[in-house]
Amino acid sequence: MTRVAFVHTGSFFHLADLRDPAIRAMDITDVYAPDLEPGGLDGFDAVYVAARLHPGVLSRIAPILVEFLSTDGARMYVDGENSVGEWLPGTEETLRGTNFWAWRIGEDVGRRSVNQDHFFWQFLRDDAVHWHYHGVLSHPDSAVPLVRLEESTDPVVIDGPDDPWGTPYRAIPGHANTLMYYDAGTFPAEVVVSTMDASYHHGAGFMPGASQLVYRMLYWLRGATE
Amino acid sequence: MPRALHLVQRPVLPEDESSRLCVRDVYDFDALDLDAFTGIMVSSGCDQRFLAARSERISAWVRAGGRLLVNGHPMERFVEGMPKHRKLDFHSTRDLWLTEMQSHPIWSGVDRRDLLLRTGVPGEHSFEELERIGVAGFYAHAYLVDLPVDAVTITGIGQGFLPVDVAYPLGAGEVVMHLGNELGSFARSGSSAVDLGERTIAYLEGALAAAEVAG
Repeated sequence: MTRVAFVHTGSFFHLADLRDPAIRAMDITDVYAPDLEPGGLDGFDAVYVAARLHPGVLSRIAPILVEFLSTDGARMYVDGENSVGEWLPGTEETLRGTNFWAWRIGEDVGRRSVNQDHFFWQFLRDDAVHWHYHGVLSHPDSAVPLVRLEESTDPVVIDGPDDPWGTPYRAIPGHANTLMYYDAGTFPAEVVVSTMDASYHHGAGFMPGASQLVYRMLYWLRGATE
Repeated sequence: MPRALHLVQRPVLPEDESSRLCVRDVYDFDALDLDAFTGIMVSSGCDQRFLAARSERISAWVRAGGRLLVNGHPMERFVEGMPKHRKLDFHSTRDLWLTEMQSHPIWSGVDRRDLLLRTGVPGEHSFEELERIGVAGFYAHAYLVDLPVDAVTITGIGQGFLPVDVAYPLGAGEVVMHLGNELGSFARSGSSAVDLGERTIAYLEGALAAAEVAG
């Protein structure tokens, strides 16, 4: 059986994820990151790095996560809000504002599903990845963008607008603007990275699309040894 | 020295320095002298597995007269009497509607309609406009059960007015629970909730009477 580690730091949403009957049915293993030591991921086939890990704990365990990527045939999904640009080689993250109201007013923020002929799309659907995001990624050439922000030609939009906390949420001119990618070429393991914090919103019970993404990534991770 | 302690799920940053709040990483809890504080505010993301292993110390501090404000969904009981979380099946703004139930100094004068809806559309908006362009549920979208017998429900949610803000006495102290995003984040200029953050800190400092809480 595929062994999937759910690496977390004990926030209420992490604990709620672990109690979700649908997630329990996937036989994932509760890996409490404050107790994770080098070698602690040995024997796992796949790792779900939960959203919003405690930043101090994350920086301590990052070498363990990166080391896991040297495992042939393994899989890892890195959920959003994890400063991935600070620890995952080859990836940089630039924070973007959070537009949580676009669906109420029909605003097109520029988010697009891309490369939909790629095999990874068999694991995804638009509603799993079209809710909100917290940053844009640049990444190795071997990474295949799955969702990205499209630049606007409207000069007003290029310089703004901002979210209520003063951070612009549209694409950055000249940037890869990737919101989620699949990469099978940088490490012996396959890795998927997104800036969507699915396991936060699923555990908080507040975003149906986020629940879709959590379940779909776990489904993919469970196939690591097939 | 601030009299109120704010536990957060991250390392402390230089900009956290404040005369009113002592911001500390929850994982530094064991090294803190709790007697130096009149109130503790727990951020919603704080590691509850870690806190649950320290429930005796937290409960003893409250019993000795401390005021504990807990944000977020309680998944682990880290203080005596802590109610449990239940999911709410919501489909509409009415399902998430917030209703004032009983008084509490933190919420004094706060029209719950000012806590209900958020938007990022620039400008000032009437409540009617917010109903069209805003999103409900940030304040709360679940409810609490198994309240201590002497608990008061401060705010109710939905058509059944189920508890989302509650307070209960514990020894000489008090526990206040807010089942949602950080309470202070709902302070909004131009609304009745403008000083919600300030009132929260004042309460933790002991400046607002606790006696009227459970009265």
